[in-house]
Amino acid sequence: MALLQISEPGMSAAPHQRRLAAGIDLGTTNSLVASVRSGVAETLPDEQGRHLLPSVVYYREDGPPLVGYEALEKADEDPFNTIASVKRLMGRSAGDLKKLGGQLSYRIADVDSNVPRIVTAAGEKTAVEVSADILVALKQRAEETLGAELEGVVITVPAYFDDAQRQATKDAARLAGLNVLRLLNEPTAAAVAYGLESGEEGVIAVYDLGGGTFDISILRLHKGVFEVLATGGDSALGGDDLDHAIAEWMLSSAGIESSDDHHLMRRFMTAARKAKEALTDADRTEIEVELADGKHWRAELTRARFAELIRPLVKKTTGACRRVLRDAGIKKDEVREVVMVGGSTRVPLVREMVGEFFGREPLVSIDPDKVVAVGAAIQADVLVGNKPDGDLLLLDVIPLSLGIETMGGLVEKIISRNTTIPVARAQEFTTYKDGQTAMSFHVVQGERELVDDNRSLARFELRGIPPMVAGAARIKVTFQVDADGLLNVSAMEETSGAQASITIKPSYGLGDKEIEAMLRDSMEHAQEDMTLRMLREQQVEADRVVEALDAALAKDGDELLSADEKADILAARDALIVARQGEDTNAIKHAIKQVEAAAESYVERRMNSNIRQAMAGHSVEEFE
Amino acid sequence: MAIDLTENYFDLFSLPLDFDIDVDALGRKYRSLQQEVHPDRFAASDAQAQRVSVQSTAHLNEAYETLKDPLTRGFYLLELKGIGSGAHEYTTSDGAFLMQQLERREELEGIGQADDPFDALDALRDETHRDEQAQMETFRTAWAAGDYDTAYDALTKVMFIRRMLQQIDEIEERLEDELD
Repeated sequence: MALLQISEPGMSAAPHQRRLAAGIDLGTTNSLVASVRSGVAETLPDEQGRHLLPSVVYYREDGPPLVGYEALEKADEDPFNTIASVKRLMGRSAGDLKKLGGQLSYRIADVDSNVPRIVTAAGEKTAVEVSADILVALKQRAEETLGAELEGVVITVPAYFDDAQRQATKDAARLAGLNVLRLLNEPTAAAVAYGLESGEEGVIAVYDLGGGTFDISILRLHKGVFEVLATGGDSALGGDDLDHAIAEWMLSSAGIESSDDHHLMRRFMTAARKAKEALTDADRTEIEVELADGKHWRAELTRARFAELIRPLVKKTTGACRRVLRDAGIKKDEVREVVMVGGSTRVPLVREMVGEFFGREPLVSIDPDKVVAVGAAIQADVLVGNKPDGDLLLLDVIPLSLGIETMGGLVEKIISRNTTIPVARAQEFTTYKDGQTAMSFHVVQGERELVDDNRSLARFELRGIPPMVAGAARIKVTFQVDADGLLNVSAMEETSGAQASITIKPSYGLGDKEIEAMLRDSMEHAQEDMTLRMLREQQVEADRVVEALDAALAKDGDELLSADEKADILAARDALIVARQGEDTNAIKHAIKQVEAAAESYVERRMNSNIRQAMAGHSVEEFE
Repeated sequence: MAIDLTENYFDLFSLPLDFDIDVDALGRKYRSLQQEVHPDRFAASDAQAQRVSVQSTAHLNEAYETLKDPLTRGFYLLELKGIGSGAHEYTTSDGAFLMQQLERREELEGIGQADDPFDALDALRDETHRDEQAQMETFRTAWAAGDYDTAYDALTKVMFIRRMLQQIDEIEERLEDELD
């Protein structure tokens, strides 16, 4: 806490007026939340001081989902209910999923909807809902740390995310109760974290080697506009593969062939990961693993040997860099800065080979796990209005062209890729038949000539066109893309006075209505969860009453009660047991009251006889 | 603040209504207007202000793109004079020009067989760029003289030439991929 607030002239010194905003890196493997505090953007840790939140959610029948490390622990025992890497499903249709095929370790419900639903113990979940649960955990962390509600967030997305994937990310945020100020491209966020937007103009390469994915993006910074020239990478290459390389070497040195012993393999993988991390700073490290027979296997791994093991993997990434530079039409020596992102870029060989490839030292001074979240936090701070005089303005471009299907399955591009957003473009179409009163439109995204090779975003129909000769109607179709890269399409017939228009929001089959239904669902579920908890509480209470009563009756029931009195109490007790089996909270409550009433004088007599001890540990209050 | 959507693009950027403009001044004015109207400036404002901002910025982007490129700037100037606006067909009746284009295209299609196709592509590209410059020069003269039909014809020819340049790039890409 600052004791003295010194402010520049014209700058507000009132800390209470500061609006709270956060940057969120919603990653495939890990997620982070960061915020600008006292002028410094930093990621926020949990209570145990951990900054990363594993992007894993565990669903259970009776209780809220577990998110992060707690969920990760369940992955082994209950894999079907432990959802990881859900980012790969964002904005994907059931059809897209088939292409991902065997990579998924969870079950997809076979329902006839565009949106794939994952089957869990807590019901069917969409990728949007799972992501929302991760966002809620980050939101809570931020609000607990910062001590107030967040006014808005910036969430980062990969530069290559299409409209459906961006829309899905925004929907998840809405479901989590977050106000999204802006979706920001991950490589742009990393560049902002290094303050590159204020520097000279030129080409920037962002090399992002995460836990399970590799992305390389080439950005051009031109007069405050970050243009994504090209992106590439490998969606199945990351730090886990480096661990595998070490583990394989360990197994072969230990003379063990790949084994079915799951726990042994896990111990090898854990040791491999530790060795990798140790070799970031050390030249050599000791590895020790407990074998199946209880003996210990020990070896030393040098940094040089490690480098040899992973060189082919790192080589694959520089190969991808070469391809993406060609796509961008950029020569290596035109790249002004190389930004390193992702935990795996700590590996010395990675830094060395990337540096060699681009012929310059990569930027590594900001923690590569946190750099994207930090950039997002800086942008969020500006957007929420904390820097009214700041001149940080990031202009993005759309990554893929948007168009409409025309005759013969061809695409007519309305807005071409790399157009600065927001943007609005209109195109005129006409009818092809006499008396035609309706026209259907198919909106697609992509660079290919044929509709089938592009991504289908939405179909809609314009009705109410006044009957005219073919070619006489003038139908104006307007595409509008907002600052987040999200598209709105509208169509209007404008020759005659009669006008008809329709607005659609392409979103992989999830309309506003469905989103609202989901929101309602989650609220109803909250109610359900509450009801369920009250029921459980009453059931536990009933058990305690019966148990205490039985114990008392066994001790002195026959002594203190007449046969009739005892029969009354037992009748009330049996009624309670019946109610306890049911699900009616009020019935159980009522039955408990009945037992209490029937046993009232019995309790009094027991107290009078100074035999309270008999009830010790069960508290007499139960009978009050 | 909002941008007046009815103002012509030159007035929007405080530029004289002419073909030859100060492109640097255009860029500077574009960026300063962006600072004022971009949706990021209204991220914490109400929905109405955000809508106005998106409209203004979209208009601003469209205006900037139009004036930045001499070809679209030229068409826009003619449109302001009431020429070629609305639905127009880009055709030219200049037979000699069409013949020349046809020849260029044939040359491009056979370029893969050249001794050094990349050198040949570079040469063809240079030649095509010179064609474009010549047509833009024709436009400039015709525009200054108020001969709008000739001016329009010159821009239409640039459209053909641009398509040709695009095809040169596509062929080069394909040849590069074959080498890999």
